[in-house]
Amino acid sequence: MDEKKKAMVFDIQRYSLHDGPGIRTMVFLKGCPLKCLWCCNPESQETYQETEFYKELCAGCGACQAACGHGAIDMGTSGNRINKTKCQNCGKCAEACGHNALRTVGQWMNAKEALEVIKRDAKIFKTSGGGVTLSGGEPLVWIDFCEEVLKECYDRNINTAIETTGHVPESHLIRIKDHVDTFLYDIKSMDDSRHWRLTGVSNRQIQQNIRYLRTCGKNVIIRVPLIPNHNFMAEEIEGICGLAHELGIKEINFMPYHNLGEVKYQRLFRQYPLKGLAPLKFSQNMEQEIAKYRDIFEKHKDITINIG
Amino acid sequence: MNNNIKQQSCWWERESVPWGGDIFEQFALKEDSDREKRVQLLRAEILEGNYGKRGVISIDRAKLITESYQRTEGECPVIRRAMAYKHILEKIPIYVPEHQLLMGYPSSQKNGVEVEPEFHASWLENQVEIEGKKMRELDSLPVRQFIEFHLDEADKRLLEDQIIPYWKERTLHAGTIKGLAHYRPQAIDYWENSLTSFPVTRIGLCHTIQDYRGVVYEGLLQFQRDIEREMDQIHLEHMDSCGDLERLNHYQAMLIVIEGILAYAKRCAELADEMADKEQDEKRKNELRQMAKNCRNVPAKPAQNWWEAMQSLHFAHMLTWLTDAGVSHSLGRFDIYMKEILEKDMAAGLTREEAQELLECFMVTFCYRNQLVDWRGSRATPGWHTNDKITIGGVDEHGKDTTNLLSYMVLEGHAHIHLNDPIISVRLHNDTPEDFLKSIMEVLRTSGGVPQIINDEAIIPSLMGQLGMTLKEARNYADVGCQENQSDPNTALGADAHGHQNAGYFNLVKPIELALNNGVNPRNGKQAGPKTGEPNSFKTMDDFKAAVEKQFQYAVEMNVVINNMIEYAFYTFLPTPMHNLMHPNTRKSGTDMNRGGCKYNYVGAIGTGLGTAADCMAAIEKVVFTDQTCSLEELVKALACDWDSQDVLRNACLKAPKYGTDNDTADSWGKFIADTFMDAYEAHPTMRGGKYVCGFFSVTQNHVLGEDTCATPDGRHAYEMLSDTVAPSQYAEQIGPTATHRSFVKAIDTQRTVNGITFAQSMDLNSLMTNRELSKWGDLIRNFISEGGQSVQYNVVSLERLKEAKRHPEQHKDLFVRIGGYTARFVDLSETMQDSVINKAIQKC
Repeated sequence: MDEKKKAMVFDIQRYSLHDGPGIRTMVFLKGCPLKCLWCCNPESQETYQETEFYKELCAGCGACQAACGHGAIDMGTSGNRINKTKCQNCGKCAEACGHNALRTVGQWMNAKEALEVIKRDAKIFKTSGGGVTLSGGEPLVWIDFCEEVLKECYDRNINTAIETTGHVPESHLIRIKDHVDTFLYDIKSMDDSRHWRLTGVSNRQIQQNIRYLRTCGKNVIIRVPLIPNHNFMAEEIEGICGLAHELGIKEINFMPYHNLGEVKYQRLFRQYPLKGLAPLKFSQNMEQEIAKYRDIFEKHKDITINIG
Repeated sequence: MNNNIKQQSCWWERESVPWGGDIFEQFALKEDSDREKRVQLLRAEILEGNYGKRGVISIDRAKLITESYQRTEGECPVIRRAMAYKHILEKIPIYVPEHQLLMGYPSSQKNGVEVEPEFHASWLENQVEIEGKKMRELDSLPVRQFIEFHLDEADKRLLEDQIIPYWKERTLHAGTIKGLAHYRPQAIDYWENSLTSFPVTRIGLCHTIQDYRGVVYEGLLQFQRDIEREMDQIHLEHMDSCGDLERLNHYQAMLIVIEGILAYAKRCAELADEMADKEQDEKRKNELRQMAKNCRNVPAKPAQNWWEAMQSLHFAHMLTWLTDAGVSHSLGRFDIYMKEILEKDMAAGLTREEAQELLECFMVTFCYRNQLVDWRGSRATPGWHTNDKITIGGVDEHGKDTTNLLSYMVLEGHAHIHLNDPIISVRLHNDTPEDFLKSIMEVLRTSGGVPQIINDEAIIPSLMGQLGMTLKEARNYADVGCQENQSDPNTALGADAHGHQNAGYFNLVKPIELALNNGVNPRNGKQAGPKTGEPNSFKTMDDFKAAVEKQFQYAVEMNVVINNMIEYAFYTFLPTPMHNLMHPNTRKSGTDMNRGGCKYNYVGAIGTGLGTAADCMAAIEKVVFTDQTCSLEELVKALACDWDSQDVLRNACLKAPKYGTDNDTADSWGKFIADTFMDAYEAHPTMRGGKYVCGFFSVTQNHVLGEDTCATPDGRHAYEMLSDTVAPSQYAEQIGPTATHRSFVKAIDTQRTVNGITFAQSMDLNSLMTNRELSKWGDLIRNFISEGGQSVQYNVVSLERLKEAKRHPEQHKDLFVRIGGYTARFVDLSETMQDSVINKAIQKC
């Protein structure tokens, strides 16, 4: 096994019940070519290690300032403790912080190390039919790592799944497709110009890749975030259901918009792009709103539609 | 009266709980059934309390026992005790809950709690400090925060003037202290100063499974004949030893107790007839007549039908409370030994609905018993528990699954009654049927925490290995109290056990604290343990480790001495003729339980705070000896001032490896603590020919012991709770149940922990709503079973818990919620987000 095949991992969650069959271990990789307006994991967007600031825990002791070699710490009262233009993301400030107010997010891990963690739950994977799910960000940013982890797991009969934006070179999919049991594939918009506006990239590659995977006969589940005013509309829902129908995809998961990631933007000194947009999830009329599209769903009885 | 029943609603109609699943479809009794409404009315009466309090102090038992003892000065202890029981049972007023189908009540008043002066007089006049005010325990009873009681002024005066003064020097505690003062006074110092372990002397004999099968199927008259036959074998003119005379006394005492029980049953019959005479309602009149008839047959003779069987069981179970007192008198493998009479009666025409109603009328009686505990105890067990358990499921003596109709009936009863007692323990094994497991999960989802799951695959070998049980006996084990397991004489005939599981909750952190302070307890400044060296004398981690081991050994030695003395005090001052009657071997041999009359004779000790203790060792190793961030002396100073201005050092300690996160270093320290504790206890035999064995759990003692513990090297603040059961501490990062479970398996050799382990796990109710989700949970449970975990207790997070977590985030750091494709720690969410999660939970219910 090549130990150089590493990735920037920002979280590993064991005992996940909802991201694929059985009980699963989720490996979240940092870095994403898309910048979706609603992204609830802003810490997953950049490929490098970052520092989060928990304002409420800061005692104002100045230990971080002393540790910083780049003059990036601002002890002023504005609350923006780190000057992002000067910050080199070295993590020295977080190391020095005695109050856990500055925390680094992301750590290098090679495939072997990730497998060590994954294998710890091997037994429960076997009893529950579960396995590993690679997620992000866009996990395939770290194609060497992904290929290694997926292959090793697949060979051990650990069920493998990957959550992907689909915005990757086809060659990446060629390298991993034989080691993946389930693709959880995001479709954000069927309309290219809307896709540009919402995610910062074209959907052409995404549309091509999903067709490629289906041509290879791969098991694909489509995932769609439903964002009010942006893609939560008949045209998109109809288009996505049509795509699934055309490609023989049996399952679509619609995920109503929530704003639970907003607080994380503050911790990273970023602006939340959808500030003020009311969440669809938990709203009183979510059921009614979705019921408006019942006709479309009923046209596609061959597809399992999950909302949640 | 029928109107009362008609108007009664069922609890699940009023609360928002997930009430549904396959087993719920199959319930015999539904909301609209008058039978179920009767049970709900009985339930409501318990919750309603008395005099505006949860219960009322009753002194009838205390008066009667004192009267009797004053009259029997000079008799031998066991005869005196039996005569006192007979006097109580002949005289104590009988309260009958309206609509109950069973006669007999463990107090003279509704929701009463009887003062048991032979145990309680030792502490009722002690001073306690409650919210800054000093007061006597006796005065605190009506005003304390948990388990508060109404106490009549005249009764209080009688307690003060006559009862307590008579008993003060005659209690179990006084007897124990007298013995220690003669032979090992330093054990008293240890007890008072070390705050390490609290052996129990303040309640009666606890933790035993009695011979209910004998009472139900043979009857007390058969017991009487058996005892008389044994007595005939002793010839005063050809005695083997003076032990024979002692046995005669014990036989005689049991016969006196039988007379008392039969007198009580006769009074019940007369009272039921009297009530029937006055009753206007025809239906109730007939019920009362039948109840009177039942009490004329049982417990004297074998029960003829299910109703009599429940009445007989209730007498045997409830009258132990009125006589020998104590708690955790468990029913054993109820679904096995009670099956025969249920099937017989159903074949004779008893309907499933009638059977269920009677079963629930019996199950509800477990909450008639209120236990008087001191202020400390009231905070340690605020849940009002008697911990009298019913065990269902598991393998039979041939290793085959035993699940049957009665197992499901008990689950239904539990869902319906939904009170703190009885606690249901379910035995699982590799071949537990899928349907039964699903039913258990469905009931758990509703109840939030019970049934508790115990694992045949781990417990059976440990009972054989540690206690030398035969395979057949071990396969017939049952849960007996908080978490301990014993062989069940109802199914493994003759294999009774006295496990004295009151050896105390041992604070596993204290020996570390003492080692850091050269044996001085920083909580009170007193020398409590041996002088194992000043902090700067430890040059390596191994030096410090050796000091911790010494502290453990000393603490355990003192604990063993105290426990031996308690058993001797029981035997010499307060023998237990009711228990002796209710255990097959003591009954046959005429030997008191505390003298080794049972077949199995061990003592169970309990370790509490494993996670915190392991983290302390891991932090000392990392911060002091590996990173050398500070010296041990500096660390001790920081702890002494509760980390004041030591945030940076504290943070370094918090960042050290933590047990429960599947971290090999921390888990190996968990193993060190567990092994040191178990090695120390297992080195000691019991006086009764058994050995000391260990378990790990906490009930709520981790909070109480935490208040006795200053700041600790793991980063914990002074007086905060210790880690719960064998779970990670509140400072460990939560990586989920699979990781926690792996840590636990690495740290603890479950084949050794015969006194029980609780592995507690929180589950998000919202992630258990669909059948698919339940199945995944089932896989986790099956994995736990096959990996040899001993016991697991799921805390299915309810709406209440979410709300509570919002109010007190510091206590709910391990609460994870699942929202769409996003998992978050509940306490990390903003207030509005928390509200939205709470709303989601409301919608689901």
